Amino acid sequence: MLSSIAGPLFNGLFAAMVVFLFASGLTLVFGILRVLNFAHGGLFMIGAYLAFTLSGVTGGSEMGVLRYVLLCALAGVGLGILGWLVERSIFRPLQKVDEAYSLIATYALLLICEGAVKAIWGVNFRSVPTPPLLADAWIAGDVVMPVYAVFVIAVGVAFYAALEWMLHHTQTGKLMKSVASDPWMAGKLGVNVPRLYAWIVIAGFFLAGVVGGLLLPNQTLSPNLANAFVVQAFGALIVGGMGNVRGTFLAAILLSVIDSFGSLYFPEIPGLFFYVAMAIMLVVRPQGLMAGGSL
Amino acid sequence: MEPSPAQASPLMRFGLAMLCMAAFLALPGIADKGIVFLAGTVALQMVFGLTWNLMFGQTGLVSFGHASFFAVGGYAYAYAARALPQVHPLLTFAGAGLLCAAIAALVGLIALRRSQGVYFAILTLALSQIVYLVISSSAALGREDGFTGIRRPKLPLGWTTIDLAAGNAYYYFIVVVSALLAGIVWWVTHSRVGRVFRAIQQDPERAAFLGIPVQRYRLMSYAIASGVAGVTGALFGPWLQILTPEVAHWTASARPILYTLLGGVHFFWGPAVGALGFAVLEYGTRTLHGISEIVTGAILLAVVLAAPGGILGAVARLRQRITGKERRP
Amino acid sequence: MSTTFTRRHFTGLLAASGAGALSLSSKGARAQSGPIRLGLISPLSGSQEIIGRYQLAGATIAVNQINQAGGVLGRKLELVPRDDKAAPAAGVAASKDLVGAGVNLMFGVLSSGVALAIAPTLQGDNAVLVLSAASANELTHDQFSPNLFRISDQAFMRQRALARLVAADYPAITTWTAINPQTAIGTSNWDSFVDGLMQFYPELTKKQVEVAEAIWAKFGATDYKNDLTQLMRRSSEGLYCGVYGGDAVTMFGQAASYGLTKKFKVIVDPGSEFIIAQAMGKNTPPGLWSGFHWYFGAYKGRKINDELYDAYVKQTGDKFPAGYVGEAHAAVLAYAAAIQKAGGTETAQVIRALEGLTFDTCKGERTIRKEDHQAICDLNFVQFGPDSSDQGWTVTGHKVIKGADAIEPPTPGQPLKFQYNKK
Repeated sequence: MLSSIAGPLFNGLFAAMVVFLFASGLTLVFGILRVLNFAHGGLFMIGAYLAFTLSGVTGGSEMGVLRYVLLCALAGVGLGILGWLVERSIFRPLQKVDEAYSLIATYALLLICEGAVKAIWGVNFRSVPTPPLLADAWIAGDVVMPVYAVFVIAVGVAFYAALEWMLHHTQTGKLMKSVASDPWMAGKLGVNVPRLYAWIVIAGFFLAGVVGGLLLPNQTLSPNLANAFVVQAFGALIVGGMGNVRGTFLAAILLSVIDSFGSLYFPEIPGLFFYVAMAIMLVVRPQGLMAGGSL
Repeated sequence: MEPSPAQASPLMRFGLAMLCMAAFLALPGIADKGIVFLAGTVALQMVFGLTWNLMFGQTGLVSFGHASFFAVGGYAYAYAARALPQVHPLLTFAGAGLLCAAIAALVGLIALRRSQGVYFAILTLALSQIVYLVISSSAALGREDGFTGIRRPKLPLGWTTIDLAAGNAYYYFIVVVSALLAGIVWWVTHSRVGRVFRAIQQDPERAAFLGIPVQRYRLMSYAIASGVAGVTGALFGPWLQILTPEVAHWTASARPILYTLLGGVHFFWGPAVGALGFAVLEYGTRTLHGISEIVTGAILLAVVLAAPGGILGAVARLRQRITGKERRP
Repeated sequence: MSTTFTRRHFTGLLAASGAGALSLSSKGARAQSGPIRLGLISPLSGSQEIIGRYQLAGATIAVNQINQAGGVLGRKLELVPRDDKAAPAAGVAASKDLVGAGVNLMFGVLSSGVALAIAPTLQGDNAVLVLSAASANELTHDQFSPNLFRISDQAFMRQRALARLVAADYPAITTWTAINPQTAIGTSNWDSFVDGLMQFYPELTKKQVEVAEAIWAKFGATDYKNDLTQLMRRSSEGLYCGVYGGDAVTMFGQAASYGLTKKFKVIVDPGSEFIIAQAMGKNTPPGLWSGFHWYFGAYKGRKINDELYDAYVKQTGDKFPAGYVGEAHAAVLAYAAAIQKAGGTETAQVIRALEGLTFDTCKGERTIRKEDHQAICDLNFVQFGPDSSDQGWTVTGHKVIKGADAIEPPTPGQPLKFQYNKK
């Protein structure tokens, strides 16, 4: 009996952390710049490919956990630099015009990401094994809990805690919140809004890169990876409440766990329940889980 | 939609639209089958784009799931035409549109009252994913292999019967019906209802204060747009002779948004121009195997950065630069 | 990364294909003495681009070989590739584009959806399409078109041949289950495999086979943990892994910590070819059998096979051509043989010549049945396992099953009926 509840719950939590980690960078950018970044999946994919290449450069496929974490950070830094370039050349010029137009720019960016991956890494499928230390599984009854999945859940919670702390307990976080709620007023009060925007984009890209690396052992690498989580992430983001980090975290858990049980007991249409839950949530709580105030 | 001095006069715009339709009708005489097939698809996509902007440009409603109505209309027509072949095809096409309008009205009745702005957008995204998943796993609809063998019908007109399967008959049918549908959207936009729509788009709170039932009008625009989109989907089925779930995919819902932005949000014909622009871009890059994504992406990016008001926005600015001075009061 | 098929190779191939793509302008100038133009419809962008590149490579090599030997009827062949993005609308646009440019002989097509979309347009456009990959049974059954041919195998014969293989080689494994994608081809593959199990176990081993309910996973899923949990509770000893390609790589990657490959004694896969081993290297599931369109190693010593293999390695630097290379190559050979036999390139002539045609290819002789236009051809299977080499995996065995042993009687226009799997 335990396994019929604990199993799907654990698997749902893992899926939730994948969605949350993916959405974390998206949330930052959307919460402050109000740009729904279509290209986020493309950036995530490039992060994964960067980590893949770095793992090859730094020696065989057998990785220690420390080296693996370092690779993810490096992939994040690479994407952060890309973020700086994109902010300068695309987002900043478009700040002056209607928000909607940045949507088409991010779509174009997504296409370029896909094309670039094909040009640089080719179209072959690739896979990186889980670092040996994380490759085992813990077994309780007949619930199998892969150590890697436990690791990802822990990282997801840690990311969430770090973001919360930064937003609510640091000077930067307070600045960000003030800009998010009223950029004009914040500017009048002496906040360098464009510079903050630039840092937000860099941070959003950095997170995409890090998460791309972190989830590398979980997915097949291919140029199709860009579209893997984007719709679920948008869902969690909005159900959570307009780029509210806590809301996104809770929404990702709620939707993914419901989907995990739904797909088990209604296997005819796997994945359906995520969206059913999403639609119901939006109708029942149209202002999002965490209403009022962004971030 | 505000008639800025830079825009062409109504008569001239009407003339341009007629010229565009004449070009579509003349196409089979001068171009090869490949281009004619694309043109039929583009005509439908142009109307599809116009319907999206009927919601967005007119009442400020953003839908991320517009393709679900294209798909529901398409599959409903295909299914009905097979199950009830004795019904007049025009009725079946209209029925598919009415079904979509009814579904939209029902969804809108619940959703529009509760959620707005980006919440409504994501709600439509969720609903369209549900439609996509249900079609993909429904054996009766052919799953992801598609609903096959959708015939081009015979069209009884009382005095004669046109076989739409013959030659380019179905192409002409698409062009004529697309023009009619575009006419309907144009009429809605420019009627009294359209003026109310615009008042809502510009300032919903003020409109409500003036006694305009904002929700009812939004619902109306959502239902009309979805209904017409459903008809374009219904027309597409016999054109391709197969329907696959990809027509309901979220990337298909992104298309009308991109058309509108590329063509120009503030112009009635913006989405149509954007659809045409996309088609030209994709046709031009079709033999650049391996680099078509990069080229398409780079061109899109360049257009957005150079002309953030869309193609028609850039044209308008150009006109203003040339003729602006004498036109200004 | 010597086994990688990179963009540089790909661009080289395009240049080698005689810049056929750019020759649209020569529409009216097609004379009897000009080159014979063959249109390749293939996913050259989008999610299936990896397969499109293989098809383009095989077709290019065939065209070059034939031209070096003097062409067909004294005329050179010219390849005109078009991208179908593995999407029906783009596929129809590609075929219309070819027809509009005066190309009436077409081949290729990976996705069955694309093939099903093009099939009904062929007669009206007076064109021929020779399928070299799309495997849906309907194409030579309910959706039969007189202008459509298939020189590669279809789902039914491939999966039944795989069942024959396991019945003959693993007579002790009589309990089977599956993890399949919730798709049309996933369902039809599994039903065909079960049909084969129910025929060949009693016939070859005198034992009844026990088939447990399959587990249905989302196509393109990113997480298989719930499916794996269920799979681990099954008591079956044989696993049919209907999840294929990139999805199979994800699934096996996540399955490692569950011990899936230790639990099942035999694991078979409908057609991932080299994809799983090449992506997983040292972590390749040991003993995995995979279906192939064509496995070059099974035909060493055959001239066509060896020349194709050498030309492929020389052009791309990749030592492991996927079966799609061989099938696209064979499609060009089919056209060459048919045009030679017909003495011309008109649609009606070529159709008549293709019907009943027997021609030699990299995987032996094939005969296209006159009734339903399906080729009777060999079925190839390869067994993989990890090893200590740099690439981390090796081929541990292969098997060829004759098409005649697995194919059903022709019933064009009729849906395929299972003989043994009554469900």
